Amino acid sequence: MRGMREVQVLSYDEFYVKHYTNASFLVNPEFKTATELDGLFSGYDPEKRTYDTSTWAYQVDENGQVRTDPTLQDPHCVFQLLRKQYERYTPEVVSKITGIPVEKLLAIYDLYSSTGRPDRAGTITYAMGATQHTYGTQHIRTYAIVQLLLGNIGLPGGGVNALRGHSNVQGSTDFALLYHDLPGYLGLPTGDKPTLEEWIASRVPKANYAPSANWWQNYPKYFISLLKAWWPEVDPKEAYGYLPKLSPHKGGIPDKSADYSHYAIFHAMLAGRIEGLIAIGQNPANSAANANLARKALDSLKWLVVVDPMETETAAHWKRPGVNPKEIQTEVFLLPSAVWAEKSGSITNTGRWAQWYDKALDPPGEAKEELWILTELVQRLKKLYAEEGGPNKEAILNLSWWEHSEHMAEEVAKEYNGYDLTTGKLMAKFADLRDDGTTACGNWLYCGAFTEEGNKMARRDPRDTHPLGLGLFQNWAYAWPANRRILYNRASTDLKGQPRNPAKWLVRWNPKEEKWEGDVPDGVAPPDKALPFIMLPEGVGRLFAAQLKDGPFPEHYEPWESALANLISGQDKNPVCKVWVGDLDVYGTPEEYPIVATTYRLTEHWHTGMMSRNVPWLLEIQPDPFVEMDVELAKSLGVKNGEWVRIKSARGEMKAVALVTPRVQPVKVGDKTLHQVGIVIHWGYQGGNPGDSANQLTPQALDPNSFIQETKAFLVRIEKI
Amino acid sequence: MPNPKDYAILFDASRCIGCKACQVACKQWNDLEAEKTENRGSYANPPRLTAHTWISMRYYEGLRPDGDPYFDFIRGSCMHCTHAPCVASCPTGAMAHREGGVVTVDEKTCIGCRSCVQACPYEAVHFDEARGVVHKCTMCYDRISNGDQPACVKACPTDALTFGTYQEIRAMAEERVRVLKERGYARANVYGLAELGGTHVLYVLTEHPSQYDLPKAVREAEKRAATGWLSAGIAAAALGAGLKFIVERREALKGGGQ
Amino acid sequence: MITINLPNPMGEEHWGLWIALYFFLAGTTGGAYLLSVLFYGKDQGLVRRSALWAFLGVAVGAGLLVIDLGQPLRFLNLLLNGFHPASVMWLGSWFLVLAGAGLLWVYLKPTSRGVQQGVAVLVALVVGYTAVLLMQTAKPFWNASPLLPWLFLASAATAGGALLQLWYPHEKLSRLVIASALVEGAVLALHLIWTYPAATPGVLALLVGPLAWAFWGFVVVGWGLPLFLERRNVALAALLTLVGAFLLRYFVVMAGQV
Repeated sequence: MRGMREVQVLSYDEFYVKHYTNASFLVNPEFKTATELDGLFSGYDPEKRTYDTSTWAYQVDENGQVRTDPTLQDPHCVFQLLRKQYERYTPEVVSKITGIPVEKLLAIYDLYSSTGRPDRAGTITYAMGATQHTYGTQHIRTYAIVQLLLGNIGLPGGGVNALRGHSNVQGSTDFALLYHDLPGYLGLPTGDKPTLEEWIASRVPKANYAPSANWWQNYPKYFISLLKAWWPEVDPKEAYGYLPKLSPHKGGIPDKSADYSHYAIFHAMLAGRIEGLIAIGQNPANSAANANLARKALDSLKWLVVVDPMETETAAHWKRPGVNPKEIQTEVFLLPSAVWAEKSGSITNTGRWAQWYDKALDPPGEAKEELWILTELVQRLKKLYAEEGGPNKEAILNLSWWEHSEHMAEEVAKEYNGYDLTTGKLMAKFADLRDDGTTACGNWLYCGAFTEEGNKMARRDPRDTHPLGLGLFQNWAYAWPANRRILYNRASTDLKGQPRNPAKWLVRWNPKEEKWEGDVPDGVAPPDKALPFIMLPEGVGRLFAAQLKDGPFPEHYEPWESALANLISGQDKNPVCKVWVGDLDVYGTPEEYPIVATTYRLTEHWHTGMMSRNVPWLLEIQPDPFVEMDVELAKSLGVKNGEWVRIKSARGEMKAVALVTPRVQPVKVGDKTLHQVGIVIHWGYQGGNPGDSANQLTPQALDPNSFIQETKAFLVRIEKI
Repeated sequence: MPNPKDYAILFDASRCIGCKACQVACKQWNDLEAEKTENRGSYANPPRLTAHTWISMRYYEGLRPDGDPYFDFIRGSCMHCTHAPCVASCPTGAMAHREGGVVTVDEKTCIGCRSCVQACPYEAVHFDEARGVVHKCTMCYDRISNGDQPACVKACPTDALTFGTYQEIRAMAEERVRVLKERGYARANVYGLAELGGTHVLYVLTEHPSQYDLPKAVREAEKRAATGWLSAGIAAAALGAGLKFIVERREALKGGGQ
Repeated sequence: MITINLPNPMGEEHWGLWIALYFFLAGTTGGAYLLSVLFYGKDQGLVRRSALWAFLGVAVGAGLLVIDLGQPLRFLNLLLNGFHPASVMWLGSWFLVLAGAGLLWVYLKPTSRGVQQGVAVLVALVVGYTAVLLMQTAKPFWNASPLLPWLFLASAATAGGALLQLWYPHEKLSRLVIASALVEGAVLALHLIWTYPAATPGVLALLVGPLAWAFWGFVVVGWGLPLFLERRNVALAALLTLVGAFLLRYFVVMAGQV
């Protein structure tokens, strides 16, 4: 049994940390960790609730190259700053905050840190339990830091891997369904960059550490090729003007004028500033935190188009329980759409495999696939703009679009693969894209997915292609980028490109033939010409990341609605997280709402339940919403297993079946005993077995980097019915 | 004992995640209707096997002696016993063994007497009221006799379910128990080897079967009947003689009856 | 093999009222015949009259069994579909047919004492097999003790005796009925104690649960009261005994399926 420890001595991979992370980089001496500033980093402005991050910058020399201390001793090097930041996080303190006994913590640390050897690998898989917090991004950052310290990034069996809640959510971010981005993570331009040149200049990083490959220096090729894909007949400089622009703050502050993030849109609706909404495969009346607010916001719309296979809670918001339909003026257009088996297209998983699916049957009745619906919309818009004109009409009139056909999905795929405009042939790889307007490509990451050789995403060769049988399956579907199966795989080798674990080598440099073998490496440059983390200007992994809004290091904070004061610093909550405050955005106190609540997904249902609660065999196996609670809590409430209870938060209430189980245990945090309950999310007032959504309880308190809502930690109370 | 070449299914509870894919796949393949259910404080639904539910996952949750919680999942279904009590009890021969050890009912011959329903220690046979006959797991006989796997096995995402010959499945089960024991599961065991002449569905368990409502030392229907006939014979003789003695001895004492 | 498809609209999975009634009719009238052969063999009038009652009891009872089937029109599959000696119900079906034929013959034709005794063996099998039928199942309330045949045979003697007393009340029968009722009571108590560990829900249902009305109804009105009234009002005692005999069959059938 170990006693008090001052600093956690973690087994870490010395070689990896020294060569493949920014541990040796020197930071501005004015930078202060949260240890020194009691929960804040240097540069905080409490009025604006933001950080001035100039003290977070690296020290650079006269050539703009980062200064480093390879011995890792300099007090301003990242490695020492890391130790300073976490010196407060002793096992005893962590045990006090988390309620996990010290022996268990140490056992876990010992077990996991044993993967800090080249011949061992550990992986961290996570889902919404890590991300749906006001400091969710920093949770993921802790995984990245741990994995970098242990040398687990780039190895087979390593990595930080998201367990997806949607089969194609990876595809949705790749293709920028989020408001702030463009396909291939190119970023939507901001209003302070009115010209193409200025925008590109702001996006092309300068390599600041040799020999970083600094792959984003190729940004202009991808961005201009994207503009050529969408507006093929237009000079990219002009096409740039067609793109909508974001506020420079990108909605970082609740900014009425130019915040287009999800919750900002709903607040704008609530304020009556939005006339209409098109919701395609989205059910915010159930999936938004603080669903009552979202539903009320929908009431103010003049018109609402819902493209979905089912009549969702969103489409039916005007007749939901508790409202008078006569008082709601929204005109709803329900365009029934196809489900996955009724349309062709690609679905991209968490391993970045884009897998092609062929349509298996026609959708029923009047339902149509989204591509058909959008094509109709675009064709009619073009006609209207041609006849009546309107702002930015050239953007619509010059927009390239496809004709209806049986093979539309393939045509779209070819567009995002890209064409060489001089030859009319499909591009083979994104390394061939050019910035002179002679190539077009809808998504540079997918360049190579549908080439002259055919649709690589449709390949289904189940044979393992790695000589050691590591499970690479390089001829099954297409993994972006460039069919690389494990990212940053160069980090699994030494500085000469030789595998650090020959028994499980993933890539290796063949000096005789001067090429890499195994998985597609991060860039084909020889080992001494590029560092593994090619997408970063540093070329190495970031233990210290100045790009995050709430700190270059993760720091523990309590949730926005918490039962406790922060036990590690005087800063209770994330100092820069985005919180809405208003009539419907209310938060409760632990006195009124003493129980900590989190939300769960189930195997038997999916998201808001619109598909699964309309399938009788899924309703059969999981018929009702329920809340898991510990035995003591149930006894104190007088609740028996299987009884319906009412759960209340400051924002709303719901009914659920109490599932009393010893698997949930009260947690001792400091000197308090907290009871935690887990509430399942899949019910709503539409579909089979209608019921309440857990989002009737949850808050719109958002992570400052991703604007994801804190639906995994909030306060409730529970009553017998 | 089952024939080594018989069909068999292995359910490895140590790999099961309780997802119910097997349950749903069975319903889809066999066109079984969805039942109306309620959550009564458990993940298990439908709560038991019926004529329309041939697999019912059971969920066991609690605390181990060391204080750690457990959440174990057991696939409840017909075990396709070698000495199947349902087959022994069936008065018409409708319930019978088919090729490979599979137990199915010939629904054209079944008279709906429900002896088999009463006989099954796993409550795996049930009466379909609408059709007047019993309806039960067929081990997807229509699939396996055409070279495919049972629907439940095919659907399982974790390889908790495997299909093969009895010899292969038994070897797999015993090897898995050996591996589990090495990893510290001291009470790991194979269930179904001794029961009812050996069942064609074997379970790998991490705890004793009684923890999972699985009966050990199940008596075969023939033995139960034999006990019954013996007891009945003795009872008839004893009661007959006893009553005769009591009644006629009194008569004798009284010096002749009426 | 008969495959007519006409499901029974009253079909239910439980063995219920029809089965309990059948047990009562066959047991009571069979018991009357057995007693008449055993103790009044010289009184051919009595023997042949009780043979008629037993025949009607068996015939009507068998009719109830057919009505209870899920596919009643296929009932002949019980007899025409091969040999199934492991199945108690199969054997029982043949006992019913043979006993019924035998009883009819005894009623219609003059027969020797030997033939009447031979038919009595068949009737004893009819009375006794029903208990073995229950014992062959997986239900612990029925199979966890060997005493059901003792209970059914003693009850048949008591009820059969009561039936005989309705036409033919006299001292010897009273003694018989009291003796067999006492045996019946002792066996029942012993059976409840013996099966309690394995069949706790069933036993509790009888003592304090939803079947308590039938159980205590039997104990007080169908067993205790008749014992008290046996020497005071034979007819009433006999009637109450018959009611009690039905209640006994009913709650035994129901308690096994709790």
